[in-house]
Order: sequence, then structure tokens, then C-alpha cells
Amino acid sequence: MKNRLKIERAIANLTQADLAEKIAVSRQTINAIEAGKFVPSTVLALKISRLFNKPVNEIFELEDED
Amino acid sequence: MEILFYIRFNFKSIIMKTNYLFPHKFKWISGILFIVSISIMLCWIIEPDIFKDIEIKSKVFAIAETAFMGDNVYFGIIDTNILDELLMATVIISGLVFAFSKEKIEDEMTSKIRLESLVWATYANYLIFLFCVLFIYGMVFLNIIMFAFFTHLLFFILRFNWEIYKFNRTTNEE
Repeated sequence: MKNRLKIERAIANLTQADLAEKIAVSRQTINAIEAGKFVPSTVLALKISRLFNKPVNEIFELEDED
Repeated sequence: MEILFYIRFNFKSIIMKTNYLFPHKFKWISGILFIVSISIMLCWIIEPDIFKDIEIKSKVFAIAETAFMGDNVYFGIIDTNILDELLMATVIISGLVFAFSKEKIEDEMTSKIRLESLVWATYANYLIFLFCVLFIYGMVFLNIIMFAFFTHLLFFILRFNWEIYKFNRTTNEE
């Protein structure tokens, strides 16, 4: 799975720490998601989508191997 | 009816949020206690004579005591040195609390690290134990069994805290 979290975050002008605080995770977790090392749960994905006011599909996307 | 729904809803949310973890504030106190007690414990398993002069005699309730000489006792009061019981209880309780207390920021990533460390520690402990079963014989094998009880928790604690340490050090903001 790939994601546009970093881009969305830049558009919203948020740091990793800001985003982390808003969705109650650690900054390192945001870092891991952006680096593709961690796939967030549905709940977390929905929280992110609500925060950016965009559908989940626009932020997270399946890749061929998924 | 509304109250019933409310209770059910709350009950459900409590169930779903249960993660069987202790509060973060217990982590350091239990950690210190664990490191001290397990160090003493391991020394004791290797060299049982170091505590031969220290005794805390007490009458305790025993479900069973099988004596080397004399009669076996079942569901009775026995007279014994409770130093090893106290030490072992300290290791187990402080170990469990230390191993399973929440991180400062507890989220799904820390849960994932915890789970992976638990899997890793279980494999490591039993593979080492299997190795010992196959290649260690005689009285010293009893020591191995004693070790194996504690090393599972110990391996988990070491692995988990190492992984969390590495994770917390990841920085590449922007």
C-alpha cells in the first residue's frame, strides 16, 4: 500500500508532530506510515481522512502486490 | 431501555479498549525492581550457596510439600525459608508489570512492536530450550528449566525495549 500522507500534510501545512497530536499517535508512527513501514488500521486511516477532509482512497492506495 | 442501551454500549467500548496493559507510570519503578531482582535470581540459580546464611523463616500455608526426608504435607501449614518465594514473586510481578506497561504514547505501532517482540521472544526461548533439551543432561538441566521460566519474559523485555528504543530514535522530519 502506498500513501500520499506526506503530500497531504504539506498541503495542510502540518508537521509530523502536529498530525501525530491531532490523531493521538506518536510522531514516529506518522514517520513510519509515510515511509511505508507501517500500515495504519482502518480507524486511523479514517481519522486521517476526516482530518484532511478527503476520502480514504485519495490518501491511501493499494499497490499491485497487495 | 435507553439506560440499557447505554450500559451495553459502554460495556462494549470497555471490552474493545481492553489491552491488558498497566499504566505507563509503573514502567520505571517496576523496571528497576525487575532488573535488581532478576540479577539476584540468576546469580542464585548459578550459585545457590550465596544465600545460605540468610533465612526468613515463616509458617506458610502449602497445598503440597514433598519432603526429601519425612512425610509429605498436603493442604497444611509448614515451616520454611520464604526468601526464595519472596524473590521469585518479586521477579514475576515486577517483570509482568515492566513487560506489559503502556508506552508514553501508546498507539497501534507500539502494539505491533509489542506483538512482534512477543513472537520473537517465544521463538527464541523455546528454540534455546529445545537446544538444551537435546544437548544438556544431568542435574544442570534443572537449572535450565529454572532459567527457561524467566528467560521468556526477559527476552521479551529486552527485545521490546530495544525495538522501541530504535523506533523512538527514528527522525527524518520532512
